[in-house]
Amino acid sequence: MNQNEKLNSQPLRKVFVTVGSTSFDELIAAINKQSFLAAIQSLGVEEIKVQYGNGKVLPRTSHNEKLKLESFQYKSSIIEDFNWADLVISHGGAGSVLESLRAKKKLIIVVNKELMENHQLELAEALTRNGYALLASTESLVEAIKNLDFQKLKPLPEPNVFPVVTVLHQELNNCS
Amino acid sequence: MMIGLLVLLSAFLLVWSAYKEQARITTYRRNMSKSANWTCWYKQDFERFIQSCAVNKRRRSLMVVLGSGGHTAEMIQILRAFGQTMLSNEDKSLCSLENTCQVVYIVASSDNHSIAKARCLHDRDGALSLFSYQTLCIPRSRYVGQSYFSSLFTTIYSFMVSCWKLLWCDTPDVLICNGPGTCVPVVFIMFIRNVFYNLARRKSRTRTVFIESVARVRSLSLSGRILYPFVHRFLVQWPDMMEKYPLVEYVGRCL
Repeated sequence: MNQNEKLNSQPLRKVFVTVGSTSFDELIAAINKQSFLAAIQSLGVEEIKVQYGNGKVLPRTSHNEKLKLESFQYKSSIIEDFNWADLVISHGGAGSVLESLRAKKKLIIVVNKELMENHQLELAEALTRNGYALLASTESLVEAIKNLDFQKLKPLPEPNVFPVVTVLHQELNNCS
Repeated sequence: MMIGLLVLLSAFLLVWSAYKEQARITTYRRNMSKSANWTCWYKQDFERFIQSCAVNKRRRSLMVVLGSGGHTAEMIQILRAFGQTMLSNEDKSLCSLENTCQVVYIVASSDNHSIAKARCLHDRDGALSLFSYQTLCIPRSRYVGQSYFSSLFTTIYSFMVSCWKLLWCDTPDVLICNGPGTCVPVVFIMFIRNVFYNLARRKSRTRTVFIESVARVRSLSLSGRILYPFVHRFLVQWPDMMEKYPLVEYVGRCL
């Protein structure tokens, strides 16, 4: 009941799943599972868009009439898809994560553990520690969706490029 | 015998001056990282830059290393802001902006996406429309997912090719890179060039600015760790780094 109230105030109709520029087969496999689809449908989700990159596992095409599944491999710009979605499930890549947070979307980060030194986990942990996003693994994704709690989430502060630009100006000054 | 001695002597001279150059960089960075903690944009630095451009009448050159994916996105963001500060300069009479900068992009070969983005910044976007630009292609030093061991060889190959290409280009005033593998050989070559400039008592030298990726929160990336002693400014985007590495400057998130 409590959860229903929360979801009524912030309806979740559209979900966007992205794996970034490489591949993340485990995430696609996780969202192909029946348990995931059931969990996400119980939230009231009607449409899912999947950007699946160049992995071996393809997202399933259609589930039933109530849940629309769309997928594409790459696009030149996926900002529209971030804006379109209510909830984003993303790999841990800095670009996708920060872009969706800047589009003010609810975000679940699923970290790809196979990448070098697992540096994606660092950013994901820093963002979850500050309460900007939620963190899940491919195994715990269904679990995370079942107990979604967006109440604690805070919006990400705007970035500030100007300190870096100041440093550039300084350096261009120094070498007269 | 004499030739051997000569070679040894010059090798010693080279190593010694490289050591001195490195020590100079360390002192410079220690001063810089102590002097300010960046939280806002200091306008006087920009104005001083514009004025010195007007006085010196010399075109500055900026060398930018573009990586792939997220690295490029970050760099484009920074360059766009840089261009906009130039455009927003109200007092246009201080200098003709065409004389301020030219940009040289270094891109990994097979990376047309980054070139297109940079070109867009100059032509369509308009933020850097006042600057002329050229591109320089060098081979990649590490593909995503390549192992450490094999990346050693590709780095050496990339180093040799970029040596050859960069030795014949003009000395840039400032080199900015933000952490793709491609920037490692470029920074090293600029370091070596600085050493030679010092030996020849010439003035034109390159300053290198390294911006660690926003994805790095607590530890430096591989290229960051390699280049840590060799760059003039090392900027990080998360405050946690400052405890671990004393010579970095925290500038806040720029993506």
